[in-house]
Amino acid sequence: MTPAIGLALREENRVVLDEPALSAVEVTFERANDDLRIENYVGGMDFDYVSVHALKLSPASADPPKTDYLDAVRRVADENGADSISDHLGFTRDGDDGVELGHFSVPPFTSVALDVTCENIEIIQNYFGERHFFIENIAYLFQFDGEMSEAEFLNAVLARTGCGWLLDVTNVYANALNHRYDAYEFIRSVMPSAGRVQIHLAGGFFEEDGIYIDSHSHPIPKEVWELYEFALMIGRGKVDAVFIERDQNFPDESGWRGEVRKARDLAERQSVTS
Amino acid sequence: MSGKEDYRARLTHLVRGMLTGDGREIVRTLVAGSRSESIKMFIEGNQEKRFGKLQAHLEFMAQGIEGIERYVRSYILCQPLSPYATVFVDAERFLVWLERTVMLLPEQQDFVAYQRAQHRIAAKARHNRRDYVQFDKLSRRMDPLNIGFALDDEDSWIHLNPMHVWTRFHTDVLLDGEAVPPVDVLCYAALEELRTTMLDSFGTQLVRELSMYGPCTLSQWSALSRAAGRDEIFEFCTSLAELRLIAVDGA
Repeated sequence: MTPAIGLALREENRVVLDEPALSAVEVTFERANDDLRIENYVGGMDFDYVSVHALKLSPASADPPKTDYLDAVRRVADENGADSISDHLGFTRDGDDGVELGHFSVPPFTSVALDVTCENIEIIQNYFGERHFFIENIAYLFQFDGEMSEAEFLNAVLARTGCGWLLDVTNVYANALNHRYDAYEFIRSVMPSAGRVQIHLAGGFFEEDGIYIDSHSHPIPKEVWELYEFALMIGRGKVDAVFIERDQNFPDESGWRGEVRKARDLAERQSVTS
Repeated sequence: MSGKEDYRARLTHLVRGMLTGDGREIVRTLVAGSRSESIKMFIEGNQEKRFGKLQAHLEFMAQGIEGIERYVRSYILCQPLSPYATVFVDAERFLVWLERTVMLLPEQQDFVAYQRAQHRIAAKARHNRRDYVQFDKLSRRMDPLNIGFALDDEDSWIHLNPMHVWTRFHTDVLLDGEAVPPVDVLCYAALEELRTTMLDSFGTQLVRELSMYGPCTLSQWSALSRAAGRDEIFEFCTSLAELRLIAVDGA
């Protein structure tokens, strides 16, 4: 089975939504949750697969997400006919009475953080019911003192909650480079715990000091395409959807279409060889 | 302390450390080999994102408040983002902070009033989404050529756009010489946009009447009105429908 292939929907890529190779879109909740918007964010179009990508469920926070926020995510999911919902393995705030960082941070990989994260994901999954929830591995430039590796933490989250894995291939690539581990080994070790998988692909850039920044600002690099092929191979039969993310330095129409076609070609090739 | 409370305290320490300092305190809690520049990059990146969102949101205000970027940056440094805050919520908090921190000129206060009216409409649309969507549907269904017939129909109801708020301008900076301040201005949402209109005292009185009566027919309104007769209300409704401030079912 070939996964649904598509784009993280932005105003800049609406012009290529007619692309025959594209069958899925990811709707970023914070973009779609416009108080004045009446029409749904996907513009009334039909796709094989729609996912709503949230930024503030903050499953590694001390408190579960508030019902108001969950309600709003569900409303956007309903309006856009979403099949799934996703968010990041991290925290954007300490707790309900705390403050918001503005962007998610990697949690300390400790057993308490694991318990709290799993509890919160279970609350999220219960709330969304039939819609599958996926947790995304994030790119991080620093890591707090902990008791286990990211792969062990993620494996435990997937195994205990049964949620899906939003495998951000570029984040694995960036972390592997920046924190010196084997990206292939990371994916190989986590994939067995995931019952369902979505994939993110993007391109970033190298800082002068050799740090790779996952900025969603460049074409997907060759190394990420190779890692993607590997993920498709070992995740065969599990991958529901693939989304390409781009937030800066937007390409022209052929750039958008080219990456979508390549993502589909590689996925179809894997399906044929399976 | 339980494990969870311990964890909460740890996160609070981390979050506060990242928001209030330059991250040096946090570096001690990182795995060996971590660099303080990484924390600094994370903090500055978050601040820049927040600044960018507020700057885009407050674009119109920048025309009336010189150096607003400087104020936004000061605000970001001293007022952390509250949980789940959207840019509307953050911008509203900025306005409160600005009024407390800076002695604004009356002209600048009008810009604040205008911005705040926009926030109030967005909040209304969020909290009363069903009303917002229903009015939008009704308004889009109206045929401009049929409004007159519909108003004369005893079964047609006139609905005031529920997504409106009044605000008052005390100077002429936003009035383009069209009126003498102070002036009450009506801000509202239509076709997914924020709009503004200025009514004369007669129009203001009629809109306030309709707001008080709720949906009604032209005959009912005419019978109750202290401001105008049936023909005047009919004319007025035609203009309001063009502005999408009212919708007439059956039109």
